[in-house]
Amino acid sequence: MKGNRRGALLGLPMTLWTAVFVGIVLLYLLALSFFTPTGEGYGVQPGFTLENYRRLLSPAYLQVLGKSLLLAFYTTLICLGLGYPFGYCMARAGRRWRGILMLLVIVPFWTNALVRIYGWKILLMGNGPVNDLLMALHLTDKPLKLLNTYGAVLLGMVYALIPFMILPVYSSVEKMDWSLVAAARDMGAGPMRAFVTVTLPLTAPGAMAGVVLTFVPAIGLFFISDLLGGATDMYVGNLVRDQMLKAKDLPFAAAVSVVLLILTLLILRLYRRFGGDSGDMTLF
Amino acid sequence: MRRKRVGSALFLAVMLVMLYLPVAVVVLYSFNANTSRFTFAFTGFSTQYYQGLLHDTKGLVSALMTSLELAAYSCGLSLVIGTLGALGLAGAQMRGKGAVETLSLLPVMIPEIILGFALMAVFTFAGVKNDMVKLVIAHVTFCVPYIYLVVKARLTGMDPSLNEAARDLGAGPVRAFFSVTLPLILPGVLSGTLLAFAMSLDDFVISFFVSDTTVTLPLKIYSSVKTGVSLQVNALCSVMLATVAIAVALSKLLSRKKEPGEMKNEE
Amino acid sequence: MALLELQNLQKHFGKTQVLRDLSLQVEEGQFVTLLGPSGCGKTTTLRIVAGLTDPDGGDVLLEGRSMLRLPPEKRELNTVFQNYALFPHMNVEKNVAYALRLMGMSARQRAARVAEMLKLVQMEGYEKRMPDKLSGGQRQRIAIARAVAPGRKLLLLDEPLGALDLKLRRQMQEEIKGLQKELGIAFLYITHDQEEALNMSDRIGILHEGRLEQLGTPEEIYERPTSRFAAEFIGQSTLLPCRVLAVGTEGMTLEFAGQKLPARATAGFRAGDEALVCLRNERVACLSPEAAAEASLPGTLVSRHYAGGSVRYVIELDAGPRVVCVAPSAGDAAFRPGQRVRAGWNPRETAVVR
Repeated sequence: MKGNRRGALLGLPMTLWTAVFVGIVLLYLLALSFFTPTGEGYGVQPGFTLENYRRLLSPAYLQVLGKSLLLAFYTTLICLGLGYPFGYCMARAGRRWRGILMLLVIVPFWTNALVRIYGWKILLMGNGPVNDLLMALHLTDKPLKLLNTYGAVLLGMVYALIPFMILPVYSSVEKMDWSLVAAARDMGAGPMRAFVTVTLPLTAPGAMAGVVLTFVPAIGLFFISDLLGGATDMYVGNLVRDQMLKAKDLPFAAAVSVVLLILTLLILRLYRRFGGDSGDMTLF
Repeated sequence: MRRKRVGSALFLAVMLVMLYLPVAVVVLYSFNANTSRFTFAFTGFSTQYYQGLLHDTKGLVSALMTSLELAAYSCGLSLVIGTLGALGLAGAQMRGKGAVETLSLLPVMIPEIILGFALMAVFTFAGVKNDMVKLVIAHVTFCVPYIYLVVKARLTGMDPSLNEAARDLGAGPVRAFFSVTLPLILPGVLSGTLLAFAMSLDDFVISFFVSDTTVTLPLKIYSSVKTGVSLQVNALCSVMLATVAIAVALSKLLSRKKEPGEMKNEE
Repeated sequence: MALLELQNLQKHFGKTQVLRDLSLQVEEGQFVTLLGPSGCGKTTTLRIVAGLTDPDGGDVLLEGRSMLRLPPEKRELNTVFQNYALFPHMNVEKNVAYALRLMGMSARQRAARVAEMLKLVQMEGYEKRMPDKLSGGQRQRIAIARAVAPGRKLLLLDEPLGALDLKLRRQMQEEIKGLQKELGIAFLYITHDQEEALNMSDRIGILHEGRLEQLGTPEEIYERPTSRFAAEFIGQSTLLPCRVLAVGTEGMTLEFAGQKLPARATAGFRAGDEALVCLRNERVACLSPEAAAEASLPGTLVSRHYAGGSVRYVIELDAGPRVVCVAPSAGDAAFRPGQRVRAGWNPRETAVVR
């Protein structure tokens, strides 16, 4: 039909761009993961070897992967625990407040992500404001080691990703039909029961979108552990970067990336399988 | 009922304080008189870092300029690609549409590090040396999905009979597009572009992998935060934050005065 | 020559056939309604005429010339869309003047024409309003004003009253009919509401599964349905399955459950055919068992409902089927449920269909 041909023509630039810079690029990534490094600069020897993946299976690297997933898991859990009630309360606030709160949530994210993390670094330093406050309150005599700890990394991750939980939860709670809760109450459900049997299932898609939107990026963020964790712990993100920049071993970094990619696609697939709509993931 | 209200207000307040704490610290320390590289104790009020910024002693402003230039190129290109893509793909029913859409959204669905590394590897393989070209390609790749999604949402929210009505009343396809479709999707196009601009300006991970020597602002901030920190970074970020805040306040004020005819699909 | 002529239109969407051999003529100044349930193909027909959908076969002629190769903007007709399709970013004046501007009218001519149109639909003074600040009925008027502004000979209307409430709908029916008379142009009107169709049209085409079941004046459609679908779709009736015993010049004799019933002569029936007698509720009388009627069947009264101006009886015939009878409440004999009664009717006012 006419409309379709015109549509295909208009969509051509995007189709081509996507095909080359997403499709071919990711295919090359896959191919690269089977190549061998030549050892000279970024040089690679085309071929087919499973060596990179075999190396990845060694305990040291598996531990890196496990630690990254665990960190992402904790991050998501805390984001859910804090972000869900936040989004919920926000959507239940008055009409005028909702707009203001929305703006308040978004504004800090107009500053560069690195700067915000850096703000935390200042706060958590040995002679930083948090320790000053703790000592002034006589809660501790000497400065606590707050920076370069696992807790600091977790804090930074949660801080960076929590809007991605708040916003989808907010929009799912906001568009919920509250007469359903009234109906549940009318039929004898207490507030808690009404929440669990009506509100929670109806807002689950928003929370699920939030979980995917926080978990997936959490796997790959490397600069937070760099800045707040003192780079003592190694995560997948740091691994890819180091293999590329320091070891210049592109095939191995590619293998790590492919594993990450497959993991991400599995999560997205799972999300769709359980009724997730990618529409819930578009926040803006 | 009342106690519940107070409880949720308190919770929101505490969370908001946590959200703003680091930003406040950044702004506050930009006025610090302390010049020591190792201790950050706030020793007094000074505008020395703002003065330093004026003379760009740390190369921060030139990094900002590079970032702005990059964001302008990438957004301009993504604006055209993404809007045309949404116009073309939104209505059409054709084979491969789903695949193109899924693939084009992938850059914003997967961890940034994968796209960053993969692009870097391809550029190395293809021997692309020009940093700006590499950066623009990378940024367009992750900016297009934002514009595409926002414009597509706007298009699907639009009543298709509006375009048909224009045709029925004597407008050719081109005329109908410019007099009806375009004005109606324009807010979407603008907000998508703004979003893409912000994403481009803020991107660190992908630029980190792709760029050899060109220093964008986030790259500059990263290196200065990792090594000895100059509080000029704080000064610059405070200026940027103030600029954005003023721009938003202005646009809110203007939009309150002149309420635009909103798109509604009633009945 | 008809103003608009549809010739054997065919249309498929995937595997479903939406239009089968649809032919129809609209004369100048005529109000023609396409009536049918949702999914019968009426909107598709309208879209084909407007040029928004291409047919798979057949032709559309406007004043004798085929329009199929013309894009919508080149067709000399205009459409009132179901949901009005007013441009939300233009005020009333700009909406109404949209086509006029494209026709190359000067600003002064445009302003005069817009004023004339707004007066026609009684919306003077609303020039600067935005569509989202108008009520449903007002939007409807503006949509009509915009579509008639170019002054074409044919206006297409796609269920224009569908979104309005009942009272407003009645009022708009009158107005639209009056407008059509005043403008003297032809209307091709789409609706699923039989009352709307019967009230407004010069001619009604009943559409069923993409086929034109019957075409005629409202009176013909109501008094002489030619198919079972037309008989059931229009009005409230009970269909009694009968067999044709004999066909004469004056009328036919039917047989229902062993009883002979007279019926009016209807083309196409021969002795031995199956037939359905279409008993309109308001044409059936509830009579006492011994009352005389040209055609009647014995039964028992099941229920009686008083509804203000009328009384509704349900009679269970001895042969099984139930017949509904709606009688004016004035002078009602007030039969009681359980009582023996007869359902009687005038065979000359009763249609027989297959």
